Amino acid sequence: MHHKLEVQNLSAWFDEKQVLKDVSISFPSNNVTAIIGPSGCGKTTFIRCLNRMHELVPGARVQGKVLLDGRDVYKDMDAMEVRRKVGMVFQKPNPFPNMSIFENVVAGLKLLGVRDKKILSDKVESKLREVGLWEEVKDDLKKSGTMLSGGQQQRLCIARALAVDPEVLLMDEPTSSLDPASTAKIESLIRELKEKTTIVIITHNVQQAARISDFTGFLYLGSLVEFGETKKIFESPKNPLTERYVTGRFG
Amino acid sequence: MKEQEYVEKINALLLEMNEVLVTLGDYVEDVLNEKRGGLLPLTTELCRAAQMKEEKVLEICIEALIRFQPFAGDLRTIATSMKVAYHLSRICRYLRNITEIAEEFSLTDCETGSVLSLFREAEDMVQVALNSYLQRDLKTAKDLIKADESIDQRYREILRNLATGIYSGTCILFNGLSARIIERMADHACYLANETIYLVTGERRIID
Amino acid sequence: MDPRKTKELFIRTVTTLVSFSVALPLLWIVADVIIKGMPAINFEFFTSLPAPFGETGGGVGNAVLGTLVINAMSSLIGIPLGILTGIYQSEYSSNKKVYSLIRTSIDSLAGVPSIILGLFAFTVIVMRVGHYTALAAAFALALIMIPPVSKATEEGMRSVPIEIREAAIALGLPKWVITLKVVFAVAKGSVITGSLLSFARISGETAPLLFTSLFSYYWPTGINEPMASLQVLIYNYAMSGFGEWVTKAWGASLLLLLIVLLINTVVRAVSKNNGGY
Repeated sequence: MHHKLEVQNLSAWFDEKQVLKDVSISFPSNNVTAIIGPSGCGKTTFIRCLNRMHELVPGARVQGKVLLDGRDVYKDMDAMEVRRKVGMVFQKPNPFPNMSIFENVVAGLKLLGVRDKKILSDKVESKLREVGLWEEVKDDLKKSGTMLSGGQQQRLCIARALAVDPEVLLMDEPTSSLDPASTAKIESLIRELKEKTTIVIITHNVQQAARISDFTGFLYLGSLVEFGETKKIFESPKNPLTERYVTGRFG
Repeated sequence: MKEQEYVEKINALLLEMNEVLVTLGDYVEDVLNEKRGGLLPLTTELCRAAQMKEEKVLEICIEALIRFQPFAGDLRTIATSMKVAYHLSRICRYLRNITEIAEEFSLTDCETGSVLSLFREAEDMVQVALNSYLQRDLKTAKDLIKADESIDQRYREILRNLATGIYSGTCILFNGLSARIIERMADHACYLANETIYLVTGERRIID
Repeated sequence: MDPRKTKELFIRTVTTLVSFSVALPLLWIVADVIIKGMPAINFEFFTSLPAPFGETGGGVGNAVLGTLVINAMSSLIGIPLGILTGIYQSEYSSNKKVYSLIRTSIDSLAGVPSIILGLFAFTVIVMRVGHYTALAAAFALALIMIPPVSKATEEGMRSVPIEIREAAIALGLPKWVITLKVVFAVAKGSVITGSLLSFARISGETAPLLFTSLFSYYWPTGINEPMASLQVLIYNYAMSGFGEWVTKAWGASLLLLLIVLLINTVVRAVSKNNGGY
């Protein structure tokens, strides 16, 4: 099995406080890996180390290796290249408010100077189709991105992230602010996306992890407690801490 | 860790099924020991009661799956309960079968000692297996599965004896059929113990 | 009546009366300006040069043009400088000491009386070139414009939510693109209102002009020479004692007032619409 992203002995700090302790995980390509754990266990810090956003916080420090197809994301690549290859979708949908739907989708291209109208509109159509938004918004592409419903906005953000053709997509609790119907649409989208992309999703909802992921990692107090196939983790986890967490017995 | 309500209900039902099973066992004792007849209506009634309890266990399990979407140990508890209820119900039907056969033939001069002793051993196995499940006692369950070997051997011995032809035709039939049924009972006791192993370790095994 | 209720009523009455009475001077001024200025407004007013002292007719065309030219020059210098400073303070200034230093400098600049800025421009430019010039006026007024524009830019950009920035960062965009094409673009509204308000502000500044652009009775032929402006015209004409000129001063006042009120109204309307960005 090919591992798109490999994390080796990753530790992270905010000033003196250590938030991640020696975490090692290998993410299989074209699969969905869920990272679960109680609030404050370091999940968000963890994925922000994968696209080099953690280092933007003053006082933040990282140690260890993150390898994308064997290349060290910190030593062999520059931060912007990493972020183009490792995209991110956030918990609260955040379309650019001063841009239309069209401009939002191709923001990653247009803002870097791509002007060819054909390239841009092809990209808009193909990405909006991928996220299942095309039929809903094709006649309103000039409308502001913020005029859509929460679920649509989030799908727009996913389309925007996909428009730069990332190899890995990080999703930080992408459906926690959405209603059940939108959540279901996005979960089904995630299952489709993994054919082309490797997906890492953080969720505090264990049922969601069970529904959509192929592999699951359980993080607790900054350490990786257990990692394995989702089927196994949710049927018979090896670690009693994992058992307590997935059965909802955490205090 | 507080046991959920549904697990308590399921365990209570399994124990009730066991009581039915024990009562059926007493009747089978009567058949094998005192050659009593006319027990079929009673045993049929008891069997039906056991089946209804099995259905109830299934109902509770489905509801728990719907409501709680359980994982790990909780999930394995549900899965194994359904199988354990099935095994207990099956064993009840086996017991009833023995009384059914006894109705067919007159057993007045039939020697049933070895079959009786085999029966008692199998009955014990069922109780031990069920206990190991309710107590989640891994060691006992594993030991029980090993003990099945001896039942098999004794079963084959009984068949060999019957084949020598000392007994009358009906006696041979009765003993043979009953021994077969009892051997199956013991097998189901082992399957039940196997559920204990899966429940505790998450490991699935196939046993012969 | 219950003493508590009396106190309540007393406070209510006093604050209401005071608030309304604050509006009175404004209404009085506006009414006065309109009444006294309207007679002066006609086509000739906007298009002609002043008539010689003592004669009727003529206009303030050169002052109108002069004000526009001086304001335009000041804006061309002051607004970009203000914006760049605002962007720096908001996005690039990482060292607390540096930030504080610049902040204090800008705030202090805002506090310097405009007459002193005019004097400064006089010393630095007028004395050096040897004559009064509109360039010096532009310089002085630009210094007045920089603090409000900078502040509006900085605050506008700071108020762009972090989620927007993070979305842009996550797309792998370089910092300068994020700063200019995302954050600044979102904060545009704030920058524009800040610029408009500072434009309105300098339209009212007279003291600096007295030291720099002075006045002229002719159409401007270049920017490196004295230039007429509505503010200085009002100053000169109002004190002349000559009826014609006094009326023209009121007319110019009306014009100036209209410009300033218009800008302020537009800004308020735009702010209400955007409600933030």
